[in-house]
Amino acid sequence: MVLLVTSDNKNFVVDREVADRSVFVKNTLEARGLSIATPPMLNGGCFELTSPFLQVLEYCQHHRGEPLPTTDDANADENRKRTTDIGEWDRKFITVDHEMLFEIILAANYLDIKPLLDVGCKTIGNMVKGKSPEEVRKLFDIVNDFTPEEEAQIKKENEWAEDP
Amino acid sequence: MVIVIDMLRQMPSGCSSITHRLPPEILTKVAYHLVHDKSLVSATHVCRYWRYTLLSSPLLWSHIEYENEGRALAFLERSKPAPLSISFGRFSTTSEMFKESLMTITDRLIALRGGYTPFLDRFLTQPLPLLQDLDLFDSVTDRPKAKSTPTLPSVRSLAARDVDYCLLFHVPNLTNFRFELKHSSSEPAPLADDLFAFLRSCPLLEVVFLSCGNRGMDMKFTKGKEVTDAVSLPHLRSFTHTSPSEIIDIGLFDRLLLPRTCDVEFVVKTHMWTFPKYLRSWTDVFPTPRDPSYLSDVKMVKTTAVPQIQSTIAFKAEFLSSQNTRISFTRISHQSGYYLMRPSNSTPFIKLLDFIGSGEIADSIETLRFESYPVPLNRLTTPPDFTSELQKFGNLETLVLWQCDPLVFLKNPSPPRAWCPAIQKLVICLPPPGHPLDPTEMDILKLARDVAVSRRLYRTPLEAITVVSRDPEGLLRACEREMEELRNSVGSMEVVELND
Repeated sequence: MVLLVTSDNKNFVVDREVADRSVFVKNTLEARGLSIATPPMLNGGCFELTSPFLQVLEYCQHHRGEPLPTTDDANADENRKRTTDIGEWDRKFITVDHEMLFEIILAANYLDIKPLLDVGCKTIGNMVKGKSPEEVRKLFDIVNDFTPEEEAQIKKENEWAEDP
Repeated sequence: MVIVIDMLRQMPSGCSSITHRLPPEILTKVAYHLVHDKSLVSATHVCRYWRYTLLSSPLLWSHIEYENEGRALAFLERSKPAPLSISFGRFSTTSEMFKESLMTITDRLIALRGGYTPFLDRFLTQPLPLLQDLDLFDSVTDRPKAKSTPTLPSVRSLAARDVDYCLLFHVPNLTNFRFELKHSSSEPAPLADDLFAFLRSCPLLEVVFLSCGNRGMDMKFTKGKEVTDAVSLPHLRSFTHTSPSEIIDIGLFDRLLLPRTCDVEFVVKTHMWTFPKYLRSWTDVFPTPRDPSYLSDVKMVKTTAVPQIQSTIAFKAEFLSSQNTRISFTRISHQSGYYLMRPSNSTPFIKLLDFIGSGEIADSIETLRFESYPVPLNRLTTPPDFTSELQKFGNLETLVLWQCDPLVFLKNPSPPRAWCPAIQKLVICLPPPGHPLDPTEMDILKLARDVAVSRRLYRTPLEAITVVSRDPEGLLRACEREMEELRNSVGSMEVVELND
């Protein structure tokens, strides 16, 4: 068993197999010969840490025992990036509000859980796909901050971007 | 990346979008899922942070599918200095400016797909030190007249469709070769001379896929030019030959020296009723035609309505020796499907069952599928030796009756136990409503009672029935009581909608 302590001082006791889904935790434990990893989450207080961490733990529990991505899989990364297929369980798992989705992605990035990061990025990619810039701004509450010069450049790009 | 960092410094502190919490490397990961989509360009028009992050990632722009000059040139510029994959459409004509630009990126090209045009013919003679994947197809409107014989030492994968000229390329380090050549029946069959010479020049090949021939015959050598010395391919892992004809000249491929571990697959398209004839042709090649170990996987796929049913027969094999004519098929699939073509014309099918059922392979078959087609009910008869043939499949667990009258298979002369001792799952796809074989309420009731009796009296392990219907709700409405009885006769019963 492994004790994981988040930066907001919540303790989680999990199986080593579950903890090892995170390359960050795995390497930390192996390097230090410890059974306590602290703190595995992002610092800075930007996020409500416990909540996304619970989600990440749920993901790791579900995928425990599955082979971890190896260096050989790096070549497959490119192909994986191009596909938009997400497994049924993962799709349900990642169906959360935008705030939580982004926090899960950041947590997966920090904890180095590549498959989870991939699921999160695919999900956002699928949200963006087929949408106009204005629709994307509306979806994620983004302000159009282009300068007039940049707007002119974009208008020019649209001439070839929209040409079939 | 400097631009992005500068951007981040300039980012107004009040920016509230959650996407701006994503560091550039993650936003770039997201954008990788847009690479083959128009949305990638749209994403750069969302806001300054997105734009400069994505424009600072050359790899995002390194897959160029030529659609128009402006787009292609912009992608070329944005992708610097990343390696490039470029694809041309079949009928698109690329602009002169883009062609000139291509000449400047020969040292970045890793993959190229396009119609074989005079331009491409010249282009391939340039030094292309990184080019690994080459995919060519016949450019119907713009075939090159003078053809070059390029040397492409870095190419690992070559696919050619209707570009027989590629057989004169020099690609000594090729590992993956896909060669497709269509010939109409009026044209002579393709010649194997150049193909074998080409294979001989690629000793590192690991995967070969060939699809050539016309409807009448397989490839053949020009008389007097037959390959006499065997062609050695010691690294080959997979060899597939598909022929649109009914015949594959096994002797042709006996000239290939393949390692024992190589997967070999021959795919022949033939009509069901010619199957015995086809088997005889294999019998001529293999000295022990009844040896069950060499027939491993048989698939027949309905492609059109009766009588133009075509079947695809695939054999997987392990080549034992080189010039020796003995070829042993030892891979046994644990799942095979057989389609019963027409009950009134089932003699070839019975022969097939007899052939497959006469040995150890019968025990490895877990799923059996029958398919019937619209024929008048009075012609739907079960061949007399049908049930006895099925008894040979002692480990059959799943029986699929696809669009045929289930009662024909479940009623006399033999009860289910007699011919399906191990069957656990029954899948029935019902014919469309109004079809002569469309079961009535009474048919469903009889099926339910037959199953119940079979389970009770003969202790058959049948546990689940799946009924596939075009109109599951209508079926349940019309046969509510009967379906309930069927449900009660097994442990699990579900009605699902047919998904064409």
